Amino acid sequence: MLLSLAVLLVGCTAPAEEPTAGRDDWFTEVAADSGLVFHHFLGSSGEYYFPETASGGVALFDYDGDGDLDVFLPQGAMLDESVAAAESKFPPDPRSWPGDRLYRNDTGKSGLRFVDVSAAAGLEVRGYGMGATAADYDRDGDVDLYVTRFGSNTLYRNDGAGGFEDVTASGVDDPRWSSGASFSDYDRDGDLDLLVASYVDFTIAGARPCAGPAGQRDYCGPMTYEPLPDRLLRNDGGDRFTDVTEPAGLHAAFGSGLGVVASDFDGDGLPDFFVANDQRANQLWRNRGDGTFEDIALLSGTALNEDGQAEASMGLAVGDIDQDGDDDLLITHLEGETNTLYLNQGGGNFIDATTERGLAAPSRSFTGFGTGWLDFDHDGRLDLFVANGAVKTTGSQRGSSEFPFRQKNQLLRNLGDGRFEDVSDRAGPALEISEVSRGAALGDIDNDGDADIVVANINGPVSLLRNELPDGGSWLLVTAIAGSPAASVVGARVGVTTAANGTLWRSIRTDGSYLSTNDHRAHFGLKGAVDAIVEVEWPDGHRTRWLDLPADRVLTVRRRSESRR
Amino acid sequence: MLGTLLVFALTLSGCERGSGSPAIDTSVFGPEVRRQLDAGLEASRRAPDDAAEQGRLGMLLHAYQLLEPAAEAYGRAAVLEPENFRWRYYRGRALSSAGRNAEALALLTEALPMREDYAPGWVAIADLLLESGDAEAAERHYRKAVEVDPLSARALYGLAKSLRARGDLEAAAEAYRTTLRLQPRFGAAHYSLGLLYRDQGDADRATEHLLLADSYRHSQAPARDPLMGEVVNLAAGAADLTKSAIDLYGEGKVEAAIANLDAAVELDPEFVPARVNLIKIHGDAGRYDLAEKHYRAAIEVSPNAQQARFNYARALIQQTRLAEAQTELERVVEINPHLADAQVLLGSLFEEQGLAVAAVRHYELALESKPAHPQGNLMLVKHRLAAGRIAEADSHARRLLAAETTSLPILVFRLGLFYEQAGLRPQARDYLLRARGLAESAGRTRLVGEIDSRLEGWS
Repeated sequence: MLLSLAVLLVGCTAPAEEPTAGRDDWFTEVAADSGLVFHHFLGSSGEYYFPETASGGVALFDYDGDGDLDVFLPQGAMLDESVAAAESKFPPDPRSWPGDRLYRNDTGKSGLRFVDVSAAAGLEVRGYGMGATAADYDRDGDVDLYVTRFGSNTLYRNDGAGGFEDVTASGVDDPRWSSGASFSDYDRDGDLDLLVASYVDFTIAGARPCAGPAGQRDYCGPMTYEPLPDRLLRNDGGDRFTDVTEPAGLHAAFGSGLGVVASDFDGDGLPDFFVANDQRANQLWRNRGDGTFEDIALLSGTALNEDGQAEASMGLAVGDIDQDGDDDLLITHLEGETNTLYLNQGGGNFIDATTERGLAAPSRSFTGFGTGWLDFDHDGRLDLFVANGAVKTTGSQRGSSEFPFRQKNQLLRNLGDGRFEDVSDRAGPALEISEVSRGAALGDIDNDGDADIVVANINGPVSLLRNELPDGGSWLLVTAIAGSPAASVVGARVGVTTAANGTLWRSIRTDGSYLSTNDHRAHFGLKGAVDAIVEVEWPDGHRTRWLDLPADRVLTVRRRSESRR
Repeated sequence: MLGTLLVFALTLSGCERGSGSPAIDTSVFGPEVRRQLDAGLEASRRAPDDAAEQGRLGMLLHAYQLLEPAAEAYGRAAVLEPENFRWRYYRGRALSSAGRNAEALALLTEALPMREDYAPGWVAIADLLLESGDAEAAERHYRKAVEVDPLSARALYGLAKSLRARGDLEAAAEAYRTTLRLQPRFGAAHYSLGLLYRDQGDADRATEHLLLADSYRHSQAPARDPLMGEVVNLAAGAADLTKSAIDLYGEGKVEAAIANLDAAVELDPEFVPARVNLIKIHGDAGRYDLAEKHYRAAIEVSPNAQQARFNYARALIQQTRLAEAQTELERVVEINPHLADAQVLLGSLFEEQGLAVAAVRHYELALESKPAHPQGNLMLVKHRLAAGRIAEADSHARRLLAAETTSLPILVFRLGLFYEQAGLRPQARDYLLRARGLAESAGRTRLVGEIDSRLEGWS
């Protein structure tokens, strides 16, 4: 009886305080201390221009091939060019402006350390950056970079010597408002093609004044503008890309696209595309294998939520959370909606399992953007991180903040019975921070075997959530290499088998979250196992297996001639 | 009873009598909303011990999604009037919308014994239970709601969802079917049933229901929640915002008018009158893409939205997309042959193509509905004069002169020109002089100059 009364003893003016006892401090915020001093510039003249709400991707990739993850952050710019940046509603921080930023990871014995190498790398480009994806598109052994913008996009070829060359003229430019991008080898010719999502036809000249429910000035939503078709760019080799959107059939349906992923959702060995559309039905493009695609989203159950409603789809987390060997899908949405979990039932059929898995209630009052599955506590089960930030003025912050869109981020722990528990309140100080978060990229930044998180906050400082798991159990971090010249491993699946966990599968991908790129390595928590069987299913379907590999190390596995199908 | 009141008092601790209205900066809201909120806050301040005033403020704040202050106001009302179910129910619903689900669930569960016959209360609790992952308890509460109100499609739909969540797919399918018997246009139920058929391998029925879901995607089951209906009705609804927009437009405040209309559409995407006005404003401003967007949204909701079609036809004419405009106007007069403006505009399109007989027919149809229609009369003057039917022309001219429209100076000027073309110069001069007087009174100096130069040329 006392317990139930305690629940009811809520104050009239504030939510109940959560007890601080039992806090686990899994994540600490270390961005500024490690030299990651990026502050996103919103470029606001006070006119509530729509792109201000939607930028903020982040890419983790090893640009210098030294074995650790570097950080790329697209930067904002003045949207109304007649207004000087200094006159902006929120003037820029000169330490990370103007232009996009690349931070080299120089972590060593002295600890976690980043150095801004944007200028030296040739990436200090000015424009209104949205997101980025990274992959070795030219198969020369180093990782290249594609940056999407409100305005022209840029493809940078990594010269292997610390610099990047702008090769956008290869046929990948797009002057419209681009958002998410994904490299994948959809035609299985060995090189990586590019899918670029487009958002809406907003222009500064055509900007519309929008109002909130009570008539107050606020940001518009995507339905104010017309959606734009996404683009599929086929890599023809020799630095040439061809726009095959129409022959591939992708022009037939489109919405206001944000997040994109490529994954073999129907299990036929070919990468399919999923495009998350903001307030419009999503697309799931099934790869027919002949260069064309069909949108099966409605019948697959992923176009809409359980109630048949299109939601404000933004970020995507793809992973095999029910350990049945195929990729499941979580999509982040607006406050008032829920983040939606679609469980893959095989053959490309999904069911909305949001409420059954306990993911509805924790997400209802947040606007989710960046997201990703990670086994932060090494128990062999995928947990969930969600980066939140409102897009409409948050009532409780109205009048008390110049930028009233802040929300806390969330960590949801997989309980092992199929359900998730929101453990944000005890996950450590990094989860207590309120910012207006957008992109989130997951990866082992300090190569200590656990997953860290970089969060891009618009009109705020970047966050680096370092995983401080005290007793991390055992783990493996697997890099797969397919041969020379560097054949693509994007789309490969890595399986790790232990007695305690059975087989866990992770896909190698360049996409996901919100306009972001995660660590290309496959991370596994091994729940204390001391060794494991590692198997790689290469993009062409061949499999290679390694027996009894010791745990707790960063592994590189190479394709062998005795691979079996 | 004493025990119940004791629990209520504990639940509402902190919501003290006279603890004061929340400080809300209403300056950021639109004028209509600001007026309402200011009045509500003032009334609440004047009567801090009046449960009705505190509760009414809560309802107003709730209507505008100001959920936390709404919950506070409801809390004060409930302390003042602990036996009133309404304030507890509203507080629970506000907290639920604010994402404070555990508190909402506790409050609603505690309050419902006061009104066990209130089905939406059972549904609200069941929804929270389902969202929290307790499908079994949710199912029990949905069943109770159905028992109280067997015609509630919303409760039956919830029951189906809870059964599906529990893995009882056969029972879930049957519950969806029952829902659809009550509410055949319930898009969400069609969608869920379609996916269940898909999972059962029945592709035909899956496709059938998914297509129906698409057709009825905007159609929801009636909430049948009179208490929440009272809250929703308090908001300056789409109609108020549209009315306010029309006033603002009349004052020349075009951007403010658009903002109000956008807010109206955001509040109620199916409120066609707001879209009708947006089509006109954007069409007049040359923002044809936006005009088209609102036109499409309007006719999706209401295919016979004649005014939306008419305004869009005007935008098409401005773009010289005349064939499309003609098709649109023909549809308008098919829907409503009495819409004189559409008949006249359609007549003028035929006239543009040299189809005088068809043009005259539409002008005549316009005047059958609205004998004083100025443009209709003007165009018939032209055609009657050309046919030598002077008396009829004079009759239409007299009707035109009696019209009350700001366009009268230019219309009378054109009337004079038609008489001049017919060789009837004395009447032409008379009409030009009348037009001159009207133009002068209206301060239209360019028109005055144009008339003077014509008259000079005739002398």
